[in-house]
Amino acid sequence: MNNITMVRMLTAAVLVVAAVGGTGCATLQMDVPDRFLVIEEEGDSLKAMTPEESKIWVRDFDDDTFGSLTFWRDAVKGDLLKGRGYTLIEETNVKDGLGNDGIALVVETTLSGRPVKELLAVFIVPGWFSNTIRVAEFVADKAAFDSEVAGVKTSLSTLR
Amino acid sequence: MRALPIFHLTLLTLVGSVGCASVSSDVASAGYGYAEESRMAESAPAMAPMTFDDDTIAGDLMAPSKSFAPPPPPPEPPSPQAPTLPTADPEKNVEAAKRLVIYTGSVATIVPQLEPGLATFVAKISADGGYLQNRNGNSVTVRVPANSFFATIEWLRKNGQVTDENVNAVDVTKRVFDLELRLQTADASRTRLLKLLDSATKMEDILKIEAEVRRLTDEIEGMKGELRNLGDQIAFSTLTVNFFADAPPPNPYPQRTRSRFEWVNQVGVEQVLGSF
Repeated sequence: MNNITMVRMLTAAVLVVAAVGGTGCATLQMDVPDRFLVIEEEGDSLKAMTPEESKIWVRDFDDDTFGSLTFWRDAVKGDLLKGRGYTLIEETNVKDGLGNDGIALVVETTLSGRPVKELLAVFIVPGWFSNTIRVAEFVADKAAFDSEVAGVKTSLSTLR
Repeated sequence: MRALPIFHLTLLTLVGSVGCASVSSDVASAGYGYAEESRMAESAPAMAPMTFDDDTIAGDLMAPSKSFAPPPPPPEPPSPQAPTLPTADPEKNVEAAKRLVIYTGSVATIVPQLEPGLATFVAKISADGGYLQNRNGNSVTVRVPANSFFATIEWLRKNGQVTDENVNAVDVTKRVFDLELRLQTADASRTRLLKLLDSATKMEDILKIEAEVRRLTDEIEGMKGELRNLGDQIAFSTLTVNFFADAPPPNPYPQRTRSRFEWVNQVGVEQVLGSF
């Protein structure tokens, strides 16, 4: 192995490390609907809300078990519907801004006597050492939810 | 002195005629024969006109009926002096009787949103000439004009998901006409007693007549009050509506088992609203 080869290998190693490190430090971004204001934008979390306090919260969770989208869909559905008594309104396939596949669930429950609805989208972002489970949630009172949900669904396709 | 026994006999006859007034025969003789079995009208009830010597009573009872649908031709009003004898045909007597029915009901309905749904309902009742009688949480009791009673229930069916419905109809036709005729008889008796009082000279007779007049007056006032109350209940039906929001029932799993996957425990409505 000559010097040139060693330099090339070292360069490649640095690039790989930089790439992996860069992925880990990437900030979540999403073009939220007009009526939403982004109030927090950290590395693995993004929060936005409307004046009526309808909330969007996007978070990343590490998954070193490399579970499939189907697996996580069933896990979260089972917990929400059977464990917490939510009602499933809708289930659709979606894609984020990076082209990753995801599922979106619309569920409804009663909180303090008032109907509340949630759009919960789960995406799997593949990684070297672990996958990232990217969860986007939109929660609002039923009436507010119904008026905003279309815009939020559109915004999911800009999540990156 | 010979006039006194005759006076007593007259007084006893008058008093006796009040106490012994046969309700059923009076009703029949007034031309208001009706079938004994209860019949619940499917449509809004039509209120028969009532005739009273006292205009106040007649006014109280008749006033609400202005909001009714135009009733069919009323029967001939009874005449206390010359009661109309019932016809030989019982069917005609039944037709002559206009049902006086008190409607009450309760409805449970699911609406998209609780407060707007409740407010819309109360506004509709007000527009129909009714009013809110009571509100207890999400339960409201309203009084609606009787001719709007079934239309109101139909409106609730169209504007929500009715999950429970109870309607009760009480036919008070006989009760009203009994009262009406007893009132006429008592009033006529009192009038005659007052005339006797003018001509009475002996203190004992005066006291007896006055006592009887007082008794009759109390009885008349009681009957007037009961007729007013019945008239109000006939004219305005009472409807209680329990509103429920269009949402799933409360969480039946308050003590849920946490998910084996920690990230799953960190999502959901409670977590977003609680940790946002």
